Amino acid sequence: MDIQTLLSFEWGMMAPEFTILIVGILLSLLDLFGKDTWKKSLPWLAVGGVGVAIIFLLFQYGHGDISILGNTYVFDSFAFYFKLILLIATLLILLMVISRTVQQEVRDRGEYLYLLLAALLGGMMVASGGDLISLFVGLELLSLSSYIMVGLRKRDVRSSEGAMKYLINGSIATAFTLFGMSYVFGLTGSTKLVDIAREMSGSLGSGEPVAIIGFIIMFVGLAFKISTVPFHMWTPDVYEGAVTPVSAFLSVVSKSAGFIIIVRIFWGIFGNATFGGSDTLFATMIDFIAVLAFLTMFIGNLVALRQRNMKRLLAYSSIGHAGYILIPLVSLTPVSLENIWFYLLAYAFMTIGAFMVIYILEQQKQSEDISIFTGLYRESPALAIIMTIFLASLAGIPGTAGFIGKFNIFVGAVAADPAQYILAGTMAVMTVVSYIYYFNIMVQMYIRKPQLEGTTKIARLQSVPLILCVAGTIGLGVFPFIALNFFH
Amino acid sequence: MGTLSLLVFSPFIGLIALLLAGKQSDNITKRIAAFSSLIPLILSILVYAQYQAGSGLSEILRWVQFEVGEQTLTLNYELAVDGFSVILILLTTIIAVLAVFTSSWQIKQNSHLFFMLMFLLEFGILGVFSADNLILFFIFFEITLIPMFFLIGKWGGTDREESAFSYIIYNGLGSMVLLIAIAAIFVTAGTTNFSEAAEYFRTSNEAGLQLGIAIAFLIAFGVKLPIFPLHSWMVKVHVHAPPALVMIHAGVLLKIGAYGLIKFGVGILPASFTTLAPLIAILGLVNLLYGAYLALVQEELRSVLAYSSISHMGIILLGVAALNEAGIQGAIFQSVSHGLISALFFLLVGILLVRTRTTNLRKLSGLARLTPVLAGFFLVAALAGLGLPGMSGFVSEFTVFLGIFENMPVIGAIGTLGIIMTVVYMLRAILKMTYGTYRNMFGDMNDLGMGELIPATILLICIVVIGVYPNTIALTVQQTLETLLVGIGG
Amino acid sequence: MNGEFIAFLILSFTAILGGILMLNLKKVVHMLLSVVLTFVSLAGIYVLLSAEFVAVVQILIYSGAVTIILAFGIMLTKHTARDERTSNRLRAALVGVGVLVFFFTVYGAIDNLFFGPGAEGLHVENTQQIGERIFAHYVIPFELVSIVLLVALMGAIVLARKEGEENK
Repeated sequence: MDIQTLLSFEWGMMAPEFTILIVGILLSLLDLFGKDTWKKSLPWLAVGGVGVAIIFLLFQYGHGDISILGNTYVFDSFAFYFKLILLIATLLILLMVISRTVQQEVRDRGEYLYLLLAALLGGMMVASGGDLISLFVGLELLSLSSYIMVGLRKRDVRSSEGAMKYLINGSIATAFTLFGMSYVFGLTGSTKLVDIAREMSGSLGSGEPVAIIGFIIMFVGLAFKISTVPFHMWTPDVYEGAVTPVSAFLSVVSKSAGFIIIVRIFWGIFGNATFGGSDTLFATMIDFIAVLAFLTMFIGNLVALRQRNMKRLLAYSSIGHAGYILIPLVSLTPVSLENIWFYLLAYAFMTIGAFMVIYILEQQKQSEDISIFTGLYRESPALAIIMTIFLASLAGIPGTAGFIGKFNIFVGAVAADPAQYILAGTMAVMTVVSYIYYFNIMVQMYIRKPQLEGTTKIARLQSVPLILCVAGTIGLGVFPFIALNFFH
Repeated sequence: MGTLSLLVFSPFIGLIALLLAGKQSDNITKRIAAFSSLIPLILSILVYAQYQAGSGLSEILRWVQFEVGEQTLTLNYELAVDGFSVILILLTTIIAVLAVFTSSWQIKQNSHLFFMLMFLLEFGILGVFSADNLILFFIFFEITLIPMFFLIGKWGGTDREESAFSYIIYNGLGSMVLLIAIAAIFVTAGTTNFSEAAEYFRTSNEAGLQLGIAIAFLIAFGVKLPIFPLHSWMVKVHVHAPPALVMIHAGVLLKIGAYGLIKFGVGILPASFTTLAPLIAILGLVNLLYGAYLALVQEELRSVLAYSSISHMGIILLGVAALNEAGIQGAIFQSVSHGLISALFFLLVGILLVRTRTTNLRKLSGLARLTPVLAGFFLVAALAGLGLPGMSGFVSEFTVFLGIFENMPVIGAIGTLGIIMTVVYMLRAILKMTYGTYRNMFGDMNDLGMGELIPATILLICIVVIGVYPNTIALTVQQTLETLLVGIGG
Repeated sequence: MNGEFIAFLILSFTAILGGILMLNLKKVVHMLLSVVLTFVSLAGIYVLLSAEFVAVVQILIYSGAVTIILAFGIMLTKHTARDERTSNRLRAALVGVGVLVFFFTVYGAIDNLFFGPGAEGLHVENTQQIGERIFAHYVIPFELVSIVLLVALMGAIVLARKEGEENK
């Protein structure tokens, strides 16, 4: 490969990634050598970088598919749409970091920022990877940065505990993923997704059992990232231990990246492999994923009922949501991808919003217990109403993005062939179960009286991510066609 | 924006006015609320007039489109009314005005938030009755859940939070079942518009799916109505929610169940409902007798009224099960009539509660001596409830039984037992309160003031007018009824 | 049965043995040594697969560098040299059954597997081939790996630094 071939690639398509990379490195250098006075504006640099990356990405709207260096980097509509979610979510989380009023929690704001950006870069590579190796390296970059971010709250034992649990569980999951990938590689002799799909598109013959083992092991490894039951044990501890913006990051960006890689690999590879002569291998393994989806919805929502720590509660609720998003993965209709995308987008807005409200209250009341919401309507009606919007969206009440997302999933599940009535029914029942814990927070806010009379103020900086999240949640709920048309 | 949209969104005028006014003194808040509650009433009269004049009220706006394979699923914002819904809209706005007026002396704290939630609730209900497709219907249906939850949970009686959760769980389950059914209709018929869906299912022959959807409808609306084993939440709400809210709840919200069963069940899936008719008839019978029996043994007036509602809803089910002109007309009559009667009852309960702080039948007696007018109203309401000729209750029960005797004489015969029991429990409860010796437990009690007399009289006039001249409703719903009958016959 | 197969059997046996010993030995230093055993046997398997470069790297990095760093870690940190642990027989039995089930499943799956003719000329200019692949074809993931390393470095510093020091 000479320089001519190298230059012939459209490197410009990687502009969003390059932007994040450059800003990340710049941040770390400025943090090391810069004057203290500069350091205050470092977060804004990060926000600006992500903003520029979003603009670069938006310019690529409608661009044809390209691949660089034998599919180690691909740009297609899938990558475009899902990278957009990752970038928007990270932007909101950075705004959340900036809004911090209490300083003692994590001193190293610099590290925090470039770890966030590095993780984002990993996520974006996952969205754009067309080769098992780039997918894996991207995922590792994301995971490694996340492990460190969880451990940043060094004064808190829970943080170290969470980081340790995350690291060990994550390493095991990585090993599983890699092991599964090696089987797929052994069967097809390639790491390129396109080649693997081609190799698998015929009858696999004696390779069928190996393909199934590879499928299951890889799925188990990746299921860890999206925290499906029974690979969810780490989630509540890690969310509780981490600083709230990091919990939000894990809950939204990391989980989205997990779904992205699952869709990429499993639909891309196994969606083509024929099994037993007729069905695709993916279609025969649907029951396996369906059982996981069922368990995930069931256990996530039921255990959430018993949580009093808000971050643990949101952790279990996020497990439940992961179960919902697995349904379109199983239903396999033409709208499935759209449903996953829309739900992840809606989920990003409402979850980050909810974490933001918790973050504000947590800083003022030095607690994460559900009692921080007690009497909130008296203390700050605006904040209570905003939280109500996020909770309503998480519960799937009409008028919010969460409702449209759930409704799409319902329609997809019923439209699927065969129709997934059991999963749709489970989702319906579990949605009602989730009403209990979401409405319980509302009871705290509106009906209970505050223990201490006082007011909770929203600082100007804090209002920025809140307003954006509310706009996203309500906007997608009332005008969902904007996002859906954009997706087509 | 057409008149209907204007009507549906008109409660927001009150909501925004209250929001802008901020936390004012109680008096100002109440005045704002009272005045703005009149706006939907005026608009609904306008809608009624337009409907009677025969002008088209339907509106349509493109909303979302899904592309599943070659099929394009369109979801529109479309509003329309028929005879049944126009009457229920009118019922809603009338009861809402009265509820707002009466709550001004019942709600002592946070009246600001209370009225805002009331308006949100009214918005949801008006939307439910004006929606012309199932998804829009569902959206408004869900919107009513949140204000109800808070209204029960914040301003209710002793077990308010428990009642609120019980409300949200039962109704949430019901609406989720409804959502699955709607998704199934959406996917198979490609539309959720009532008439288009009805048209589609008339020609399609997916009997199994249709039956499944029909059963889902029965469960979903059965929670709302409520049908026998799904009723426990409704008793709690009757007993523990503030009476002004129960006026709306018993008067209008429960009618969403009847509305849904008649308009979607019978309207969209007449064939499956014919199959299900015996089941519905038996459920109706159980409701009627079970409610009446439990109403007999309650010691709490509000529980008596709650079980009486269950019993009366059984009559609606019987009417639906009859599936003929008289039966369905009777069911529609019964919805309106029961709405008015229970609104009157809970208006009186609210008035009584302000004075006595209890509605326990053991503690109340001899009210006729001290407050003759209040006692008189209770008696008249009870008479209306037990179906005395000349009142609306009589017309509706009579027509329902006319219908059921035509198709299922045995069920009708057993059902009449329920009517007799109604007489017994109604009179038992009311006579125990009004007659007997008066024990001066509650100090001095004033009889009805002007502000209480007028709402009660308005409701009473409505009840009597319908009872004496049922054509007020019959003529309005005639066309709707014919459409439904064509579906059943065809 | 040829010599390659016998060599594979011996090497894989020692690799597994190293893993089991590592889990069951009580002294930390002994554990370290058993890990080395596994690393070296793996290097042997790489040689069998005609991946000499990877084998050398395995010995250099894992058996060499990683082990020494681990040894330093053991020396520099406070350690009770003996690791006391409670053994749970039931759990051990369950794990054993799980391992056996997994083994037979995988064995059953690959028993009949036919790969087609093996690749030719893998050993020819092994290092050069790897270099060309990494620095041309896989340059993007390769560069990404460098960021992974950077993050790991920074993470180590951030997590190891004491809270008080940065206020200087």
